Formats: sequence, C-alpha cells, structure tokens
Amino acid sequence: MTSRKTFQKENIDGLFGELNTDYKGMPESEQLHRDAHLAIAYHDSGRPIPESIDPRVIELISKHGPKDS
Amino acid sequence: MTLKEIHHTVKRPGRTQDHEPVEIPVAEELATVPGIVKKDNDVAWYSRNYPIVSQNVEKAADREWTWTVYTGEMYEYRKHHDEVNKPLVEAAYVSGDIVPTGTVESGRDVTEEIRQKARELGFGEVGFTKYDRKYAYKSKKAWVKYEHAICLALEQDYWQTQTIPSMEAEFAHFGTYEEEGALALDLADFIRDLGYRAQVHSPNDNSAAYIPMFVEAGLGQLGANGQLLSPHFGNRSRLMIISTDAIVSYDEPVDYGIHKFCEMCQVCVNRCPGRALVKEKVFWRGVEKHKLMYDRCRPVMATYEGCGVCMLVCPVQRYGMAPVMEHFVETGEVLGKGTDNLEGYEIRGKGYYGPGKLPSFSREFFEIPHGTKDEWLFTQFKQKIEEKGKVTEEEKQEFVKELGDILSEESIFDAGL
Repeated sequence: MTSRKTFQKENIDGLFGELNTDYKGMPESEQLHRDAHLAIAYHDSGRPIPESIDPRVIELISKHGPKDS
Repeated sequence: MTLKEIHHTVKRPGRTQDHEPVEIPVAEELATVPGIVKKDNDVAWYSRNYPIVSQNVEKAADREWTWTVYTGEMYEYRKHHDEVNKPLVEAAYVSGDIVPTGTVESGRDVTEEIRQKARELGFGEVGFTKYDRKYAYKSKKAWVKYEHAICLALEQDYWQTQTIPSMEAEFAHFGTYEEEGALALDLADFIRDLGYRAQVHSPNDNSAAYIPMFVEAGLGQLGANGQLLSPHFGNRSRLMIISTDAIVSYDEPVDYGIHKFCEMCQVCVNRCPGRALVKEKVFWRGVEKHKLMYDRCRPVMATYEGCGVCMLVCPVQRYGMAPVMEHFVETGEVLGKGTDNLEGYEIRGKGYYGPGKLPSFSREFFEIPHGTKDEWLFTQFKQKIEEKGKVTEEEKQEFVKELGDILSEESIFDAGL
C-alpha cells in the first residue's frame, strides 16, 4: 500500500449516498456502482483511474475523495 | 512496464452477452495447476467409504435452530422464500422423468446450442463436464440419471450484495435462487426440444457438492473462503446443475491463479467476523483446500442475515478477476486490500468494522445444536442423565415421543421442504 490517503467510511458513505440519491432504480445504477468501487480501489492504490470508468463516477471521486492536506 | 512476469492469459466470454470477452493475465508466481490440486485415489476412496452427506441432512439440528435466532423480518422472509421455492424444487425433482419433445439429429453435438441458450436466459457462466458421482450426496446417488453435467452460475445483484450483511443482501441471495430455479426449468425444456433428457438439480435441493464440477468445467477455482471464484463475479453467484444424456463436449479446467492469489490475499480469512476461515490449506477428502470451521461460521450466519462477509470482501467479487489480476501483475499488490472500501462492514447492533477491526462474541454465542435432529435429541438426553444422575418417567416418555416425531418426518427433499 502507498501512504496516500484512502477513502474512509465517511467518504464512501458520502459517495454512495449521492450515487443512490441520483441514480437508484435507473438502468445505469448497477454499472455506476461497479465503476465506483473499482475507481475507489484504483484511487486508494495510487494508480490512475482507467478511461473506461464513467465520468460521473470520476466526478464523485473528486468530490467525496479524501483531501490531501 | 509491469512488475510481474505473465505466465499465461485466460480468455473468457463477457459477463453477459452484451459485454466484450475478457483477458485475465496470470502472473508467473500465481500459476499452479488447472482446476485444483487433488489426489484422485483419495477422492474415490472417501466417496466409496464415506459418501458425502448433504449439510441439510448431516446438520439438520442446527438448520432447525437457525429459525430460532432469525429476526422477525428474516423469519417471515425465509418462510415466504420456502413457499415460493417449493414448486420449483418439486418440479426439478421429477424433471429427469419427462420425455423429450424433439427428435435427435443423429450424432450432432449440441454443446454450443445449449450454452448459447443458457447465456440468453441469463446464466453468466456455463460449462460442461462429466457428472462426477464421487461428489454426489449419499441421499441423491440413486436419483441422478444422466452422465453429463451442465454447470450453471447465475450472478447475484451487485449493489444489493455490497450491503452484506443485510436484509437487502438476503433478498438478492434468495431471489437469485428463485430466479435460477425457474430459468433451469426453461433450459431443460430447450434440451428436451433437441430430443434429449434433462434433469434439473435444484439449487435448493442439491444433488452433490457442485464446486468440484464447476472447477472441472473451467468456470473458476476454489477460493480461500470455500467458494467458487469465477472470472466475472467471483463468489457472487448461485450454482446449479442440469444433467443430460445429450451429445456434448466437455470443457477443460483452467488455472486462473486463484490458489496462490488466495494464499497471499487472505482478506476473507482476516475479515471473517466469526474467525471461521483458516489461513493454511489441508487435504480434505483428497482435495487440497482451505477448510472452514463450520461451528464458528454458522452462528454468525444465522444471527446476522446470512453474514456473507467472506463474499463481500473478496476482491474478485468486488472488482472482477481481470482488474484484480492485472493490478497484481502491475504492482504485486492485492487490489483494495487494507482499505475501508473493500474490507469495511457493519454488523447490526454492533457497529462498523474497518480494516484490522473485528466484532467479538461470547463463548455461548457459538454453542449450537450439532448433528442430525435425532442425534442432537440423544445428546441432550444423555447430558440430562449425566447432570442429574437419572431422568423421570415423564422425561423418558417425552424423549421417546420426540424421537418418534423426528423419525416419522418424511421428505424426499434434502432441503426439508
């Protein structure tokens, strides 16, 4: 693991809370959830998030991700 | 520039028919054997002398006990599931006797037609192998009619499963069984239209330990959590078999690199709330595997909505096998390991447990009934005599009555419906 700040419970709850509020019950909801978990994992490992990840998820990662102080 | 040398790459069809095929790189240091390490003579010996007994039979006492620790909501939902599921189990039980509706085209191999139809119906993994009677349950050996096994895995809802342990996840768990039971009856009809016989082995009244046949059919490998890890959804699927006399070709076992990966990953072992999973492998009935400690698992599973933390925290389940194996090749690390995202979970009434934190339970929490129902009744009766020195005439009569009730229970289904 790197020393990079990883998503904590409050970050995760915030991201998925917003995802559920905006997309729950919609056809793309499941893929967004898959993408979000994968994007968090890449973020936490310090690797770049692949282009295949939905841009809406990348936006949420930026918004809810841990802030480097 | 990757960190690890690639030993081989596994190519598999996409998760659904709408998805592109995937390539899974297996690092040099993760390569072992296609399928699983086993001693065939030992597997055969145990099967002959100690045939596998279904958990539903061998552990019937704790199976009944689970109903006493369910929450009200869980109790009602399980009752509902059993009612919905019963006609599916009954239909599966007699499915092998139904005569074909079509005419056989002599000598034509129908493997790909059946595979295509199964994929259209929604099965995410479909494989063909011999129905290996060495893994058949003692109570079902005479019931199994046909020699070829079609191994079928139906994916469980992604989002609901990530809420484990919860009622939401249980809706996904049991809902998938209900859906799968119905889809299999449709697939069996399709096989009969091709002119062949098909016997549906209900996912809720299993005829055998299914995972060895899934491994032989190349659909995955056995994980440290004791579950099949398949390429797209890991352990997040429900397994069943249709046996048939159709002309089919067998698939081959595959080395996905899972055995060494699990030895290194260990997230499920470290995160199990009941400490039921073990780090080291043993040979069990001729097969090298991580053997779970049932008595540490069952009480947590029964009390907390099926638990399933070992399913939740598996990186292959969460991210898919291709990203996990690619990440290992790139970095030498396990994707998600040590993070709240992969390892965190909440236990009802106890709170949140992030990486390195586990709930604790009292010693009494793990005291559950053992064995079959009559064995457990006898154990309790013996304990009473040992504690009190003797039993009253009334207690003796009660024991005899209860034993009679248990022995007169009759069901052709191991699931006890």
